[in-house]
Amino acid sequence: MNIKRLFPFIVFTGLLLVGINGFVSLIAQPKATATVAAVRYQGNSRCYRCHEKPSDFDINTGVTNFLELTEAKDWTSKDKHGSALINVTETPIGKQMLTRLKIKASEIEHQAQCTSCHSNQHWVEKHDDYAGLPDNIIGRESGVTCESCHGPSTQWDLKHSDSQWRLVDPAIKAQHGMTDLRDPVVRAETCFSCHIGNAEQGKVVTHEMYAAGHPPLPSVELDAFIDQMPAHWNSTNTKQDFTHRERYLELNRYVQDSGKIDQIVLNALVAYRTSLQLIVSISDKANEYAWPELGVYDCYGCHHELKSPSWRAQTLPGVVPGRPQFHLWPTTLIALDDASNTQLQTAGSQLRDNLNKQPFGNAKSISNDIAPLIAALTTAIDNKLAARAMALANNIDSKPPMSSSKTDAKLAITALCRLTTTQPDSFESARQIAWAIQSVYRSSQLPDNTAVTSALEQLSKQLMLEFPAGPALPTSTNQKSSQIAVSQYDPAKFQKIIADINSALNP
Amino acid sequence: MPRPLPQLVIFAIIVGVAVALFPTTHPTPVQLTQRNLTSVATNTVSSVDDTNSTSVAHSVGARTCASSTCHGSPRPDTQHANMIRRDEYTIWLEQDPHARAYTDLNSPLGEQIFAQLGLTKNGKVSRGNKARYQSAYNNCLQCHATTIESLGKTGDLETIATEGISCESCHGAASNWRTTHYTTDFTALSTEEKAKQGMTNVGNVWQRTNACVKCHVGSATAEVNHDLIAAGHPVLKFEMSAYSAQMPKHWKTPRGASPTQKHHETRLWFMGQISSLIASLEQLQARANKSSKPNSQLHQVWPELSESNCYACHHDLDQSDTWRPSSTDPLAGHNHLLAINDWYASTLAAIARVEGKAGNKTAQRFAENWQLLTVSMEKTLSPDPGEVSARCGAALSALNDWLTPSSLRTNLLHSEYDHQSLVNLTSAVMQDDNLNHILQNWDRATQTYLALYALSCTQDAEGNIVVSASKSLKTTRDLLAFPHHTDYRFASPTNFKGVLKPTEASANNRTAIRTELLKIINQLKPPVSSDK
Repeated sequence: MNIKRLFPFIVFTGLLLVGINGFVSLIAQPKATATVAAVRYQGNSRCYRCHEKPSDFDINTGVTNFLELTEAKDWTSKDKHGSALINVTETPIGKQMLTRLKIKASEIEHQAQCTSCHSNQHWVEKHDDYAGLPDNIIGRESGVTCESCHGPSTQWDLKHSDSQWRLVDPAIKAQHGMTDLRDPVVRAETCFSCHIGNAEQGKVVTHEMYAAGHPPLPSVELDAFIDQMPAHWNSTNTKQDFTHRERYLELNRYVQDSGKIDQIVLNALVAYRTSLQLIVSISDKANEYAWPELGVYDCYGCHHELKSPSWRAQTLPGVVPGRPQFHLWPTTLIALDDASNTQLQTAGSQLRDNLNKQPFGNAKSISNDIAPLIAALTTAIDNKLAARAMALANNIDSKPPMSSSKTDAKLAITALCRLTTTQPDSFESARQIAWAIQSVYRSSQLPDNTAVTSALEQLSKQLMLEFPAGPALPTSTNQKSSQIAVSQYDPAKFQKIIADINSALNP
Repeated sequence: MPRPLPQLVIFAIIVGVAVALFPTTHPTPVQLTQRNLTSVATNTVSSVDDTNSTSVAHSVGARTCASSTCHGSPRPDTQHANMIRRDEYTIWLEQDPHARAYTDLNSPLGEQIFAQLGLTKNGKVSRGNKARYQSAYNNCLQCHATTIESLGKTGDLETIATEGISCESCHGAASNWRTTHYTTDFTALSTEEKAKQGMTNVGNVWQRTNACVKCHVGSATAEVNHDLIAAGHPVLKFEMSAYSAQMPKHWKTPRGASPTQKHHETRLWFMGQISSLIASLEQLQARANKSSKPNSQLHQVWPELSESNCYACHHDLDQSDTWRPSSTDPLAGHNHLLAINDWYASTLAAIARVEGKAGNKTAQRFAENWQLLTVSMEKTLSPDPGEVSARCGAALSALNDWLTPSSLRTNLLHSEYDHQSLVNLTSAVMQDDNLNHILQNWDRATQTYLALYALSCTQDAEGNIVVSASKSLKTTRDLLAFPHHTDYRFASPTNFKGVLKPTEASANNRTAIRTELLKIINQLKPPVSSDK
């Protein structure tokens, strides 16, 4: 079943939903009498009342079988997202950026270019409501908030604490503002809106911001990133027995894992589409962004010392030398998707021509020239979701696999190793491949292989695959060491390690 | 169900495929070159009035100069002090890299460049690429072969062109003077009369400089653009006195008795600055003009990235202790997105500012027009070509008014700017804000070093070059030089480090460069009289 196809119907249904009086109206057929009140953000404080520590009542009544109710504590004590705004105001890099961009620290709340990702702009905008709150509460309210990902909560904050909420279709929940983060596409788009960018939401790291000191956004392999994020959730499979379990699983079934590699490819398709949509919106918003907005181009295509030969000074096949290209990494892993490969190649020809025609591409036609590629990616994503739905329909009673089978994992890693010979050789592309191998290997039931684990350790070191743990703020030393890793990246060494992995798995 | 293809179409497809697969001999770059070289040269010559062919000079080839009793002697003629060396050809052939200019096209680097530009594949020109290849190759030949426009229809075209940059590339096409130029009748002619027969007076420093600049800086038809550099061509950063010093001399060094000869290097440097700046502005203007034409081809690229400072983009993303150009320029008064490549303009623009302040109106006008051009180029990443072209024109006309190059054609010395006045001006340039401006990017700092080097050279009575302040010059050179690596090419000034804060006492390389440059200029200035 194609969820996307259902979307207009869901929207329509949602619009019909009116004056929600309680769960009955949500679960039963909606009555067409009024419209849903506008959803609004209201900050973390309300969430923290329940999600910091479970009460005896919660434990006794079995709420903690469904969720642990320590999410807020994990967020503030372990997760960097929670301290994202302090990052801007308190770190040397942040302070330097504010100086260079001529932003007063006291006015940071009104700087959408910072807060759209580093905080919850919507909350920040109605900061006055919180004027009387003590500092520790203010601290909690800063950074990436619960609502940044889970959605504005005025229309669901009271309702969702009732176990009946589990009986509501995620699509209906979305109409009330709650983001369905178990939907793989929605989840990826939510993360990517900051980690890649979303001009419609004002989430763009411009070249001006980079030049002022913003660290280069690393490439994203969502699975690896989520693995490294301190989990404040339980997957549906690890939840203990809870009220309405059956119906809940049924409603949320389509989103379950269908194998690591499938998940990785889907994430990669969404990542590429997001990066292209960002370019399109930027070129469309000529009033807000001057073309070319260098932030969307591959950093290392220009930023390299003039050493040759060097991977950063390489010319890709079919590309006029010396022409800046858009970020290279998003195309790395989609090459695994045999089903869409040819279409994507064909659909990408217009974009290649555009960038070859003149340095930075032709702004006037860039939007048109990217369109076929976005359409092809959307088809590929829809096909992936349809295949999953089909697989689930065929195995309606069996638990979907939490991890890849041994054979699948081996095949997937072998295919990933092969990518190094066909994909552009760049630091971020290498990272994409390494993260994917790491994810597949760790989740597989392959017997421990010391050659593979030691190769993965080397990759991790060479490519800085692990981010510093804990909520501590990144320092300029972190930034410097990642830049050193980039300038010292040696494609030959990387390929050697990959070859080692390949031969360890396929002796 | 698709409609079956008509048989005729199927037949056509089969024939087409068969033709495409048929093993035709693809021309190698060399084969194609020689074949098409002929057509290019023939086209050019045939456009000239053939009936009057005696007066149209064409090249006859270096071999015709190479007789051992003329210019091809294995050793210099030491017996006739007032005569030529006689081993000019030998020196050129054995020591001068100009002789390799054509064969370099077929070197591994040359082949890499063609491949990277997508013009050849596995060393061969693909079927659909011939026109593009030929257009690109003609651009190469402008500077890697004996000027093809001046080739005649002698049947020796390939041989002559493949001599690289040979005698006639600089001295002029010799068909009209080859057999007469050693006669007393010819030597008695004025340089104008010799020029009419096709001989370039490279003894005149201005004319010599122009001959070098047409390739070493480039022109509208012979250009090294960013595509070519990215494909592997070395970047062009020409400076006349330094390049002349590097070139194996196939001429006799004039004695340094007269004041003009004593400061020969100063003249080379100053003429080189003027000539190079004119050529680079003309090239920028031509690039801007071409960009507005539809159907952009290989050499119709805009924005042309080589018109920007290389290191504005090409630097690591390291935060500290950087060598990249500063993004704010107190002199420019505007924040720039992409600093302009001011390798050729920085020195004369700085002198123009000093002269302008001292009341020289034409210098002032050049300084202002250069500044306007800078703003046009730097305010956006896609400069308006029309605006850039207009401002290039204005800067060129102002430069022409200021330094009147027309008078340089006949005069060996610039009337206003002799050695001492150039030392004084350079000294004035190297003060306060101007010196900070110079030290903001590697190009300006290096041009200043090269200027000071030329100004530090004097010739003794024997014609030997004596360099003052050689220790400071050496230190500066080491601080500006690119790190040397044997196993790869490295062209970034990573030694040129240090955040520029003049008040800060921290010992960084740029502070050291500042100190050394000031030492050199102080040694050049005449001693200040102590009677106060």
